[in-house]
Amino acid sequence: MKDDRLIEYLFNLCSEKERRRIEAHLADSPGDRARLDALKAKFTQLDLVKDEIRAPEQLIADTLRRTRLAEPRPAVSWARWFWLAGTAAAAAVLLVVFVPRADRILKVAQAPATEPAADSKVYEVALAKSPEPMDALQPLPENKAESDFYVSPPAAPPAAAPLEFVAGERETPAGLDAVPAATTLPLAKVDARDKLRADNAALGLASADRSRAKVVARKEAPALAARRPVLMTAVGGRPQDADQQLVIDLSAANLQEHWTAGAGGCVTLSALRRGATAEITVSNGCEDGVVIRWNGRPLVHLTPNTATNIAVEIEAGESK
Amino acid sequence: MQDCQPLKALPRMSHRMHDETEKDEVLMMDYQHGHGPALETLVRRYADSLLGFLVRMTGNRAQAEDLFQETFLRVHLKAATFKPAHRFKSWLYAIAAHLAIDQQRKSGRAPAVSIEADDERLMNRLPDPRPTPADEAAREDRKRQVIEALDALPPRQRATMVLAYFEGLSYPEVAAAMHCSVGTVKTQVSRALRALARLLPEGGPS
Repeated sequence: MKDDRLIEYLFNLCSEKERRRIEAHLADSPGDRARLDALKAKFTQLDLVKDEIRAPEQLIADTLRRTRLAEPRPAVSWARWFWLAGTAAAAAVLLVVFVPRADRILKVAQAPATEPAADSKVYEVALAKSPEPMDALQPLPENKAESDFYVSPPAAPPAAAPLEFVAGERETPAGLDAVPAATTLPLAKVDARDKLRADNAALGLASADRSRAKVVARKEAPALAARRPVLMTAVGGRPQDADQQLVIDLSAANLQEHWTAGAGGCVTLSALRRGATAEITVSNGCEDGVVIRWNGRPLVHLTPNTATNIAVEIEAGESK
Repeated sequence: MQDCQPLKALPRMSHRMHDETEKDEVLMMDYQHGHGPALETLVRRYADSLLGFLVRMTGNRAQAEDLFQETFLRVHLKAATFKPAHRFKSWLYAIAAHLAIDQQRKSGRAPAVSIEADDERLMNRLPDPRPTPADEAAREDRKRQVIEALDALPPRQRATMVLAYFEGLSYPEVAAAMHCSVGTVKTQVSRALRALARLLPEGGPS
C-alpha cells in the first residue's frame, strides 16, 4: 500500500469506508503495519516545534498602543450614522448657500494684488464676550484704544516679508501626486474686508462666542494642478511649529511671545488646498488676542476664547 | 417600610468589565461599539497562540512579532466589518494567515538556513531537556530538519498545516480562516503531509 493512503488513514483524512478497507488490509499485512508505525514515528517529530510560545508583555503593550494610535476608530453605531447624515445635510446646505456666490469669490480672488490704503485697517470680527450680536466686520473706531486690539501700533506694522509657504514638509496623501519639494508658493493677494463682511453676514456669524470669518486668498501656484492638496509650512516659522501643517505668520512682534511651544502656536491652519475650508484655532495662550496678518496686512482680530475658529477658504491660482 | 426599588439590569456601557469567559464575538461587538478594553481582552486571550502560529509560519521571531502587531492593527481597523455570525478565532487567523502568506510571497520562501543565523530562531525558544550534549545535538538537528521541512511547504499549504496540526483548529475552522472549503483544507493538509513524509528524517524524536 502506498504511503499516501497510509498518511490519509493516519490523519483521518479518508472516508469511513476507505478507513475500514485499510484496516482490513493492515490486519493481513505486517509489512504495511510496520510502514504505518514508521510514518507515525516520523510525524511525531513535528511535536519538536509544537511547544507553546509565550507572547511577551511588551509585545502586547506595543500592539495595544498601535491600535490606540491608529485611525479610524472602529465605533459603529446608529448615533455615528446619524451624525454623518447630519454633517452631510449641513454640507449640502452650505453648498446651496455658497454656490451662487462662487463667481464673486473667484472675482475677489483674482483681483490685482495692489490694494487701496483703506484695506490696511483692522477689522474686528467678534469679541469673545460681547453681550450682544454685532456686525461681523466693523472698522475699528478711531478712538478705540490700540491696546485693546494691538500690542504694537497698527500704524507701524513690522515690515514683514511676504508670507510664503513651502511645500514638502508633510507627506502627501497616498494616491495623489506629490508636490515638488522646491515649490515656493507665495500668497500674492488677500482680499478681506468686503469678503469678510459679506460672508459673515450671510453665515450669521456675528455671535459673540464663536468668531468666524472667511478669507479668500489667491495663491500663486504655477506648478499645481487644481485640487491637488498642498501641505505646507510657513517660511520663517519656528522649528516647533513644524508639526503643524501650516502656521500663519503673525507679524506683530509683541504677539510672538504668546506663542507657546506646548500649544504649537496660537494660530494654526489645519490644511491648505484649493477650494478647501480650513480652520484656524486660536488657543488660550494668546491672551491679547490675535491679529491675523496676511501678506503683511492685518485682516482680522480675534479675541481669546476657549477655542475660536475662523474658516479660511483659500483659492489656489490656476496653473500658468 | 422602605420601598424596594427593582434592580435594573445594567446597560451595556463602556465601563463594564470583561471576564475571561466572555465570548470572543461578544467582545468584538463591544469593541465595535467603542469599548476599548474589549480588544485588550482579545489580544491577551490570543497572544500566545497567535504568536506561536506566526513563528511557525515565518520561522523568525522578529517577523512574527511584526505580523502579530499588524494582525491586531487590522482587527482594529476592520472591526466594523466583523459580523457576529462569524467566529472571531477564524477571522483572526484569516488575517494573520493572509499577512504571513503575503510576506512569504514578497520575500520569497524563507531560507531554512536563516534559523541558523538568527539568534531568535525558533529552535532556541523551545524547551530543551538537555539530557546529554550528544542527545542535545541530535535533538537540535531534528528540530532544524523539521523547521526546514515546514519551510519547504508552499505558503498556503504551510498555513493550513500549521492551523490544523499545531494550532488545533478543526477543519471547518481552518476552512473559514483560509477562505476555502473543508474539502480543500483536507486536500492541502494531505499534500502537506505527503511532502513532509518525504522531507522529514526517518524515526521519532530522540
